[in-house]
Amino acid sequence: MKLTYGALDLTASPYLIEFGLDSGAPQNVSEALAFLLQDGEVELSSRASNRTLAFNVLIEGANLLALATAEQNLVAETEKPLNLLTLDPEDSGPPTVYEVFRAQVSLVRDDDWERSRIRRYAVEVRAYPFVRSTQTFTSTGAAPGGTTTTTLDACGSATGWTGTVNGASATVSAVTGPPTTIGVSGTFPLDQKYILTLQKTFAATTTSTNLLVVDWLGTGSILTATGDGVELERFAEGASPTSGYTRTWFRVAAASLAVTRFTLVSAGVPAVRSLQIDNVAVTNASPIVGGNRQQLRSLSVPGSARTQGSLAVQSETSALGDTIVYVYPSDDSTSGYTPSLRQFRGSGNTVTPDTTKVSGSTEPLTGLGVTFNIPIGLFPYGLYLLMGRLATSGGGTPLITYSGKTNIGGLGLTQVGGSTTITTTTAYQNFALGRLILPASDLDPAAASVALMSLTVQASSTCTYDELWLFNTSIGRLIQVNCGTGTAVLGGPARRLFIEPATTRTPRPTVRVGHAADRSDSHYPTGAFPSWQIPEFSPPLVNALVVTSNATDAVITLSGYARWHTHAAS
Amino acid sequence: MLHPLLTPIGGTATWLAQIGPYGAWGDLEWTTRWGEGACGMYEAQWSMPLPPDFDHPALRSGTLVELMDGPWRIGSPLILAEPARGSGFNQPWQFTATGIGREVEGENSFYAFDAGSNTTSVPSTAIDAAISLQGLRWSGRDASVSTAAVGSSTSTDQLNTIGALLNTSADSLGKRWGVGQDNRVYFYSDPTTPTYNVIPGVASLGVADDDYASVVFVRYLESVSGTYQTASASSPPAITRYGRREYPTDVTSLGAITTATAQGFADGILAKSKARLGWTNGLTLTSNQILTAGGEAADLSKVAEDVAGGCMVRLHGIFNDLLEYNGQTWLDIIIGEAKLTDGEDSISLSPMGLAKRDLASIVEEVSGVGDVAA
Repeated sequence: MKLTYGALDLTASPYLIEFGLDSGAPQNVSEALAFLLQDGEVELSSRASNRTLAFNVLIEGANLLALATAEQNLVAETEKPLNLLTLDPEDSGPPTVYEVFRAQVSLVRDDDWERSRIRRYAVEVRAYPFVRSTQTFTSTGAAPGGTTTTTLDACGSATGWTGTVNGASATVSAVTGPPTTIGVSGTFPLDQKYILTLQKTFAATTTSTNLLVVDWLGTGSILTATGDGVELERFAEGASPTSGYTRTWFRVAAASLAVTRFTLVSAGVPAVRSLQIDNVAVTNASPIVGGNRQQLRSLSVPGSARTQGSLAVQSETSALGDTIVYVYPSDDSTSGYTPSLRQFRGSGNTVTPDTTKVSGSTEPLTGLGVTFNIPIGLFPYGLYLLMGRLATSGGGTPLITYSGKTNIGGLGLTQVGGSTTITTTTAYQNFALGRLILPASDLDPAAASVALMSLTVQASSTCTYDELWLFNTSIGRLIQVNCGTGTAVLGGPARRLFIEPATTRTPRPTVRVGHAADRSDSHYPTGAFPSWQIPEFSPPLVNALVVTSNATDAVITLSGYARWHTHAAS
Repeated sequence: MLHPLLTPIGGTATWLAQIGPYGAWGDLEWTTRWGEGACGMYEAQWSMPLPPDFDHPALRSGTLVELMDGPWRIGSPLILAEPARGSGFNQPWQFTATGIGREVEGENSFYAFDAGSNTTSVPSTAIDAAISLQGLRWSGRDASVSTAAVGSSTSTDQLNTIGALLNTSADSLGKRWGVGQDNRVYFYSDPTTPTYNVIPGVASLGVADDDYASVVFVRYLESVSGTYQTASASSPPAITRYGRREYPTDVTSLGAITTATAQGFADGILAKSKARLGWTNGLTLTSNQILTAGGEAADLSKVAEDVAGGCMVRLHGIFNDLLEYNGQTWLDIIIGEAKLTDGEDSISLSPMGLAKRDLASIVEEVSGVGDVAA
C-alpha cells in the first residue's frame, strides 16, 4: 500500500503509516419530517457533509535534526488549505483520492521513542465527503446525423419471442391493439421487485446502424438491454411516437446483433405489471426531436456517488444560437419524459415545415390556439416551467394563455392554466410563460399509463411558435445562454458553451462561452443570460435535452471525476 | 433552488453565483403578502460569505433583485438595502431586499405628482408620472388601476406618498393593490375560490377579536350640500353572534366627496377587514399537507408565489369561523403572508386578519403608511 499526501510519500523512509487508518465516512445531512405518518418520520437527505480521516504517521531519523526536517516536510503538506491524499493499494484495485483540507497534526510524545529517534504524529483531517478516481472521465453525446433505420420487428406476432417473469418462463402474448405489441406480465405483491424479460434472436448488422431503438411500455420502470450477452449502453430515452410509450436507444458496440434481451426491473405498489414492446429497430439516426437543433442524449456517470461535472456544448462549424441545456436524472420516474411538446401536437392551425427551426416547423397560436395531447404518465410529478420559442411578424405584445386538463377516457379532471403577456419580435426567442404543477390531478400509476393531458396554448394576437417545452424544475436543471448567431468568431457569436461546477478547488461555479477548442478565449457571457441552474450528476446516467437554435452539429460532453463512497472502482 | 439575479442601478444584470470569491449564498428566505398596503413580493433575505472589505457594484443599496427559478422570476423584483457586512467568514454578510411595490410606501419613498409636478389624487396619473419622470422602476400599470380622483379634487393641498394614495383609492373600491410578476401595478379583488386544500387534522386556528368591528362609520364632507355627514356599513350576522362594535374612519381630509364614494369606503373597509374575528396563529405546512385542487402535493414555492396574487386555501376538518356548526366541514381562509426558506420542505402561512401580538408586527402596524391627506 502507498499513501501519498500531496507530494509526500508517507509509506517511504523516513515515514511509516501505523495500521488502523480511519477513512471516516460521508455524513448524511438529513431532516426528519413526520408528514402525516401516524408513527415515525420520513428522513429526507439531499446532501452529505465532509468526512474525517484519522491516521498516525511515524517518523524515524538518525538524529533530532532529521526528525525535525521530516516533520517540517509533513506539515508543509498538511497545512495546505486544500490537498490530495491518495491511497494506492498497489494490487488489482485502482488508487483512491481524498480531497482534504487543512489538517490537525499532533505530536504523540513518548520518551522511549524519542531516545530511539522515532516520533509519532496523529493526523486528523477533514475531507470532501466522496473520494474520487485519479483520472477524469468523459461521456460524449454523439452529434446529430444519420437517416437509416431498419425495422427488426414490428411486433405484430409473438413468433420468436420468449419471456420470463422473475426468472421463470412466461407466455408472450400478442396484442392486436392498436398498437400491435407483444408482451409479458405478472402480478406482484407490495414492494416486491419484479423482473420481466423479453428476448428474440435477430440477424442485424450494426456496423453503421449501431443504435438499437425500442418502443415499449412499462410505466415507472427502467428498461435495460443486452446484445449477445453484453449489456448495451443506453444512448438516449424519450417519448415514443406511440402515445404513452417510451422510446429508448441503446448503443451496440459490436458489428452485429443476434440474441437481444430486454429486461424491465421495478418495484412498487401491488399490481399486474407488464412489459409491452411495440417496435424494435436499428438505426444510425441520433435521437432528435423535430430537427438536428434539438437533441436527446443520455450521458453515463461512472462511480457510486454524485459528482461535479463539467458540461460542454460545442459546434465545430457554427455559432450555437439560443442554447438550452436541460439536465435531469435518468431513473424509473423519468422513463420516457421529454420536455418538447410539438411531438404531442393534436390539433391547431396550419403547420409550416421549416428546417431552420428547432422543431422543424412553425405554427400560429392565434384563434383557438394549438392543443397538445401529452401522455402525462411520462411526465414525473413536479413543478413545470412552460417555455415557448415564439415570434411575431412585426413584433407585438400578445397575451399567451395556456390551460390544461387531464383526460381519462372521456372524463376531464381538474383544469390548470395561466397567462402572461410577452413582447415578441420578428426573431424567434425563448420565453418563460408560467409555472404549473403536473400532473394536474393525482393519478394511480395504472391510470397514468393511459391518461392524456390536453394542453391548449393560444395567443391573443398574431404570434407563431417554433417549439414549446414543459421543463420539470423539481427534478431537472435548466441553463439557457444566448450564444449568438451569425459567423462564429473570436470574441463574437460563440460556438462553444462551457458549464463549470463548484468544486473544492474552485468553489464558484461559472458559465463561459468561446470560440477556440482549447478554451483560450472562453469568457463569462456578456451581460446576463436567461437561466442558470446548477446541474446535478448522479450515477449511472443523466439525461440531457440540448437545443441549439443555430447549430445543427452540436455535441454535448460531460467530464469530471467519478466519485465513490470510500474506494474507487476505476 | 432559486438563483438571485442582481442588476445595479445603471449596470448590467449579474447572477449571484458570479459575485464574490465563492459565488455562494445561503439562508435565502422570502416572504409574500396579501392584505393592507402593497401586496405581492414583500421581502427577501440571504447571507453570503464575503471578506469584510469586499466590494461589488451589485451589492449596494438600490440594486434590483430578482429571485429566479430558471428563467422565471418569482413575483415582482425587489430592491436591495445596504448590506450588513460581516467581520469574517464565520460572520457572513446579511442582505435584505424589499418588494418593489413597497418603494412607494413610507416617508422616504415616491410622492404623488402629475406630469406637471403638481400634486395629484388620481392613482393612474401618479403612477405614470412616477415611472416616466421620477424613476420608479415599475414596468407600468394594469387597466384595473383606478383613473378616478380620490376626493373632490384631482389635486391635493398636501403631499401624499403614492402608497397612501393607492391605499385610499383601493379602500374606496373594496380592492387591494400590488405589483405583480410582470412588474406592473394592479388593483385586485380578494379571491373567492380556494386554490389549495389543507388535509384534515393539520390546521388549527385560534380566533381573536382585537380588530373586530361589526359597524363601520365614515365621516365625510358631502359634495352637494357641503355639510358633514356619516355613511355606515354593518354586518347583521356578526352583530348577532359577537355583538355590536363600531369602527370610525374620518375621510374629511379628502375634501368634499359624494355619498356614493363615502359609502364605498364604508363597504370596502367592512368587507376587507372587519365583521369577522381575526386569528391568533398561522400554519406551518409541508408539501404533503397542502394539496393542489387536483390532489397533488403542492410545490411550496408556487404556493408562496400564488399568495402574492391573492390565494384562498381550504382548511378541511375545521368548522366555520363564526363558531357555529352549519354542516360545513371546512374553512376557507385567504392567506395574508407566506414565508419560505429556499430548499426547505415546510412553509409558514399566516391567514389574513392575523392579530398582531408580537412586537415587530405591532411596530410595523403603528408606523404604517397612513392615508391620503387633501
